[in-house]
Amino acid sequence: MSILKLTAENRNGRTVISQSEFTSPLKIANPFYRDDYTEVMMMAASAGILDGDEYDIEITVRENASLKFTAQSYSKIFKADKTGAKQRVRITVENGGSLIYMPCPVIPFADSVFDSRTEVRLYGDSRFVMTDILACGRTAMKERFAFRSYRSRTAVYADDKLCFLDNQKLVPSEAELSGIGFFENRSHTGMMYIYGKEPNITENDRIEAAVTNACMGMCIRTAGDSADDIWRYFGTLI
Amino acid sequence: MQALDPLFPIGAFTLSNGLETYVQKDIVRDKKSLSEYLRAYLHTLPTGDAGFAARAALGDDPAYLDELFAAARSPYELRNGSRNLCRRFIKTEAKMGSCPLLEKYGREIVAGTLNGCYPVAVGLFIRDIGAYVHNSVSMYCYSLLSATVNHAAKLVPLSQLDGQAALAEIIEQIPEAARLAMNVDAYELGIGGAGFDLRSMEHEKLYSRIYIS
Repeated sequence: MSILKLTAENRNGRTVISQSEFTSPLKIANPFYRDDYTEVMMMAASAGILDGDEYDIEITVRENASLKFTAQSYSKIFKADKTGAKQRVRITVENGGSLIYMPCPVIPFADSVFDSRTEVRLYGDSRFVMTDILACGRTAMKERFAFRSYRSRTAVYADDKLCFLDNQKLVPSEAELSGIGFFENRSHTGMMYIYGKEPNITENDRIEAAVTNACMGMCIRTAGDSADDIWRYFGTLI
Repeated sequence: MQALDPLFPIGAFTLSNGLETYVQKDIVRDKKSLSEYLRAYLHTLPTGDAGFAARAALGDDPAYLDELFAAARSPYELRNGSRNLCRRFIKTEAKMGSCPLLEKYGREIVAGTLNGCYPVAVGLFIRDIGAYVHNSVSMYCYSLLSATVNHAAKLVPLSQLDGQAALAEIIEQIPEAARLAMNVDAYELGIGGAGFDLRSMEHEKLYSRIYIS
């Protein structure tokens, strides 16, 4: 199992990484200190997520700290000969804290198996933004829906009450994923969830996008033909 | 059968799972595309509406299912539509006989402790009357699909016969969907289709300014 744990704290008005722990291949780059938040980037010293890999990521944002967490390039999920790859993410944002969690778009390669679970715990007057972008495969190689199974479940709790659930299970052998109800002839889908702040909704010609009021917070869904298009669009909303 | 009849007067025809947008965007436009829509919809039922109904019918905690459903059904219009159906279903059933679990659920919705979702109400009703769960959930799936077909026949220039033929193509898969619904893992409840969600949310656009502002 590969671990990455970090805690962000507000010290005299500046957000610092007060604790961090990681094991190969995961690591974080030196933080950037922006005016009103601190940005950390996760890096993986490997070509992608390999069969049998288990990532265990834990991010804690303490009271009144403000963090942006991003990752490098793409999460490539490699072919599974045995168990496939797993990822567990646990996020906590304390009262007055803010987290923008933008992991990189996921590309599940042919014959890959991936299971990702994200649990987010928000407390009091906190703010939280996350994005999740998925490609249907290595589209540059015309590879579409060649993965075996892709599973991603994100549950967001506000003061321990479940307020948003994004639950995806994509198994190309079980449904026509390129068609109606799923990707609908697009190669990428994207989901953004925003809690505790208002998105700045804009129009975009290159992708299809729509917004709704979730049980708590807001959800934006998109479909497009490149991860960059969706990534850039999400960037304009916050 | 009466309670799950698509014509049972609770307004089930109003819950469309994005169908209007599909028709407006010319994605669902004929029998072939309607069949594709129905296949995809049926695929999502065991982890969606049918799954919630089956788990409630089998005795899972309604409060837990209610919270999970509201969180998973992120498009406002679908969540709110399900809530309205739920309330009308409970009100209508209450006039026709004693349903203790359903009535308790209704009281918790009125008190504001629970959100109200139609599939959970259906499941509690099945449990209250002691009906066979597999048969009842199959009937529920049929009812949802039949309502969709009738709705589509009005929106798309499509003959009633084509609509019924599309329904007949998938009807044999309903018992298997109901079986999957009864065995759905709690962790898999709420799995849907990103496309269905996106189209439902696009349908909200007309009033989105009101929600956002």
